[in-house]
Amino acid sequence: MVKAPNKKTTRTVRKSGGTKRASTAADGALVPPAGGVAIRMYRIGHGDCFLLAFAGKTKPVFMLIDCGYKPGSPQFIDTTAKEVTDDIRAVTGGHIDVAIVTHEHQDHLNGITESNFKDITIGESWFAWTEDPDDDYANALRKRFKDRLLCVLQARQRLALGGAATARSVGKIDELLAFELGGDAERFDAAAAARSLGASGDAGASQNKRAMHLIRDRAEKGVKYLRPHGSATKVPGADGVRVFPLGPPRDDELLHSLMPEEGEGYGRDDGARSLGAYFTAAVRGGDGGAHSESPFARRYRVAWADALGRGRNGFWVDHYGDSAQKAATRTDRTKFDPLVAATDDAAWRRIDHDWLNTSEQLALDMNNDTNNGSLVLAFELSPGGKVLLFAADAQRGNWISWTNGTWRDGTRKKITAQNLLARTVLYKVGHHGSHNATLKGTLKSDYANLDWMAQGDYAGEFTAMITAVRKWAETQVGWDHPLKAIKDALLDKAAGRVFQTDTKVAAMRGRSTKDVWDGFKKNVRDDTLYVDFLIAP
Amino acid sequence: MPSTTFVPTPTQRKLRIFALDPSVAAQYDTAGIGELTIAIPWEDLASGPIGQYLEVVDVDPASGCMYHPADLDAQHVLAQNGLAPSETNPQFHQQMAYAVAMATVVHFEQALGRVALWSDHIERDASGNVVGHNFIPRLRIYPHALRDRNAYYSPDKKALLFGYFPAGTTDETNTRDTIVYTVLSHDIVAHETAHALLDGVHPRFNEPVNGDVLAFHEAFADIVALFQHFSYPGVLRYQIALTRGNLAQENVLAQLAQQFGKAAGRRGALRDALGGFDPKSGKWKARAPSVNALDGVAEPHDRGAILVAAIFGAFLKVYRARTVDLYRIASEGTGVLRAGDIHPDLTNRLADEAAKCAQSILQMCIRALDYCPPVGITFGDYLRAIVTADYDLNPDDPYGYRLAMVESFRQWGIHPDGMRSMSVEALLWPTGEEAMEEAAVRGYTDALRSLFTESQTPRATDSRKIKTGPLDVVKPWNLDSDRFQTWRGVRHNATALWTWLMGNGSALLPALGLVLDRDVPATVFKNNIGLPTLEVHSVRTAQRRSARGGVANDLVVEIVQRRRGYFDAEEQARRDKANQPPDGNGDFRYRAGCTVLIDPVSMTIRRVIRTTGTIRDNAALERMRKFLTEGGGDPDNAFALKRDVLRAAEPFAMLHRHEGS
Repeated sequence: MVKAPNKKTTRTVRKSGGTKRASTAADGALVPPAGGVAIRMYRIGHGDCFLLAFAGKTKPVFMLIDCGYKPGSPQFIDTTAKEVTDDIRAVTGGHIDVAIVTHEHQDHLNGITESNFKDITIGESWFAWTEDPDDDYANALRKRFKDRLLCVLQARQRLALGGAATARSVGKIDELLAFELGGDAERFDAAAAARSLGASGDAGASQNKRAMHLIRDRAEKGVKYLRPHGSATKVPGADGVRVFPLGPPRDDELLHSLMPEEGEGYGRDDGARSLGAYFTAAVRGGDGGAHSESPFARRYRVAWADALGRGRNGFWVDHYGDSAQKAATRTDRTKFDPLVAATDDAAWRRIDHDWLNTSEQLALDMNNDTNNGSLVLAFELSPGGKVLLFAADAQRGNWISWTNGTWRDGTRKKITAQNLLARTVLYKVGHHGSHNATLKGTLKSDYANLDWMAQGDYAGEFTAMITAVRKWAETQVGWDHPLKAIKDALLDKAAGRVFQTDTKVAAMRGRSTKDVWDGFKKNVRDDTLYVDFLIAP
Repeated sequence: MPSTTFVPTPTQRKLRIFALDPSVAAQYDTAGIGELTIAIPWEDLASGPIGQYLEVVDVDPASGCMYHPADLDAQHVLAQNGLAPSETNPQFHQQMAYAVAMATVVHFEQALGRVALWSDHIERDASGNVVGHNFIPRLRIYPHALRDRNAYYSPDKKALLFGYFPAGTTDETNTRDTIVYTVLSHDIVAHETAHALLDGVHPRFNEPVNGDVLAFHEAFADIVALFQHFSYPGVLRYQIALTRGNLAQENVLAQLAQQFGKAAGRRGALRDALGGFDPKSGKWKARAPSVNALDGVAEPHDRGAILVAAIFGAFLKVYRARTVDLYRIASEGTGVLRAGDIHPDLTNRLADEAAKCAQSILQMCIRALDYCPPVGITFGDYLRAIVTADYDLNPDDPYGYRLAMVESFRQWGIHPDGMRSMSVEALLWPTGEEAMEEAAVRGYTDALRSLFTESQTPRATDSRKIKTGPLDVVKPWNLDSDRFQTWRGVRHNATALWTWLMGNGSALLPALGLVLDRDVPATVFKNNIGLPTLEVHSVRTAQRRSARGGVANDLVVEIVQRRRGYFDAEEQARRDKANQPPDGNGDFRYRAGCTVLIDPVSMTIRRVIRTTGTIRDNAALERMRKFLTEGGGDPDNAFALKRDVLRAAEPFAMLHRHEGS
């Protein structure tokens, strides 16, 4: 399955897109077992796209969870997002009953475009509470996100002036900005991003936002914003199936810092309150108001240009000037020992751009915040029965919040996160199998972790799905997806039943008896575009 | 010049600093200890200040300006013990950075008995090949480099970068929106300077090859900051008087230590291992040591905190033992003090004992640096280094410092791998004789003698035709040495030693864990006659007390070999077996070797400190690969993989930012 990237795909069968795929829909139909679910994991690239079919009264109830990929990755497995959405249209007959976006990141969203979603209608749309326009906290979070995004983008532009010395930082920031802004370009175009956001910072123009709007606007039966804990949610048309939101958490500490208390006297002006704002003011330079200036009185200051300008000499040129400036003013260089001269006052010791690296951290924080803002859902097929756990890109911060509350089930006792995980037979692995998105622990740990999943009778059925294109991830710096240690742990726990976006079913190896493996394979159907997996109730 | 006024050159320069940080100085009840005058060795200073070791260059790129450099040699400044402590005068910031960093350098030099050198600047050509090592005369200090809650040492720029930021909230000590300057915190300046000094001794200690290396760097920097602080009796005197009733409970000092960290605007993560506020009682409580403390703790600061706690524990043990008599005297033998303030004389004596004790512990910790393996230090190695270094300098140990260290480390679950005993004597690194016997090397004394008596000429087969004289021990490297000449001497000695090792000295190699066979995995770096490369990194002198009480100097030599490592174990196996050495440098570098201490007078090897495995050792290489490929350094960050630290431009910036969040 894994191939070298080849943009000039010579596949002819599917060239005509939707129509061809539609004609094969009969054999590619997604039919759930009675009372159960059929899961189609699309081989969309390094990203998430799942179509679930729950058993309904007359016809299956279709649920879409995310639709996106990291640009460049589909070429490694020879698929396109258009083929995926064409298949979705064909299989669902053009109507998705519930569309879910777990969080606003490129690799979960960029397949959702007007052209890809042409002639697709949506019943309900579900988002995390962080998207709720009526939630003050959510609004404050989004405003902060927007402010940070602009700051990072501006800092990135200034950092780019550093040329080769800052190229690494710029590259890292670009990589992170691409997540937040979306689109399908392989190389992040900062200039275009800056233009589209504009000086006012209307992040609404980003491709991520457009995809979010599309899902929200098409919802015929309304939009739901899910909050963790409390009560379960029903899937319309699929009786008996209940949905338990586990995350994203509402962080009270953060809430406190974002929402000033009443009568505090400071007003609601974000002003210079935060470190981020102070940094931002400096990034903006002249436009930043009072806070872009030095914190010290004028008498102590020497303007940059005055210190290092043409024809200057003295302390600053001697100790901070570049070699050209020094050559012009110092004629006694030869008197210095050459070994000393090589390092004394050299240009490589300057720090003109180092302060802007703070923006890399800001970008990383944003990325982590968005991942931790993932909507994590546990689907229970029947009361007290099997559970599917879709962890989106939840990282540690999200995982450890799952135990912060419980669910009431209406009739009986409280349901805990540990109970839901113990019944989990399918785990959509967090964040492409990265190191901090599947927590390690034991049954006795006081936080949710892999060991909590699939206890007792459920253990024999445990299956995992990793959304990763390994060969592509290896081309990226710092993307060890999936992490070998996590994949090994999953293979062990699931006795080989671990699907991965780039892996053919034929290449999977069972780790238990042949009977068990054959039984598992009966519920699996492989295709170049997806893998189907059936779970009986 | 007033040539008729006869005055000797001053020995000290007195400079005023904030004792902790400005917030403490601004509180009414701690105003008495807010400021401090410290004495540092006299040197002529240029504006900046710029001296022999340090250069303060105050540029603030975020604000687009520079700040006029302070002239500490100006008459009026000298007459007032430097500029008055001030948050609003950047020139005072320059002075404080200089004063505290210089004080740290002095502690370092006193402990090691020689002048300190900063790590070399490694010059590379456009394609990244090393073209030369350059001497760094001065560490640069940028007091206002960043608008961030961060401060770090940059190994690339040989500079300390300090940030400033607005206080986030209004609380007892901070007013919102006022600016906090990290350069005004004594502990932060000392911490960052300690990073730079450690890098000067062990440039390889910022390569994370196991879970302890980065944690050690952080812990060491914190230990230096903490104990340097405690070595000022004035600060302790005030606190000891204030808390007289609690003094019998040792946790007062631990709490103090932690508050220093907090006041500095840091989260104090490193020192959280010392204790915390108990939510039930609302009182501070020392954390009890636990032998399982290190289990599952991977994050460098959390791990480093445990090392700090272990060393602090040793400090408390000795402090208690040294003051118990004072309590008896003051309480007429009962050991129970009467109510009310304690006598000022007792306060002074207690503070002096605490300061002395802190000074001793600090020196033990610094001296141990000469007794560490050249790469991949573990906490267990460090314990052995502390014990051996102290044993070699002070064979008698009347106050039981070594025992206190060993006991405290044991209580915190830190022990060297594979030790069959945790007694002081078992923890000493093997002597040359023991190592030679163990490796069945005979007749090594003659070979060693030739190092000092013969001119070192390489064997005819060697590619590097370097002729040098005998190892140059004539020029001592002590506290009076010229640093540049010292640096040159180190390089000369390294060449001589390398030549000897390739010739007469090669008989000793098995005992040192070094390999000079053709029959090694193809991934081992080799010279152009097909033998594994030997790199002699540093030849420096370490002080030791001789049997008759005099001070003797040992030569400390670090020798390292390297091998290409690959993240993929199968690729490693394939390339190891190949006939040809692979192109390129592999995914990571596995290094092995040893540190050897040689007594040039008796011409014997005093100590042999080997890395866990040799360059052949596949198991040690596998451990390193596992460490680099499994999991991340920072559990809250999806992209912080440990192996990325290998590539990071600013390894300490990454670590410190986390601390400030």
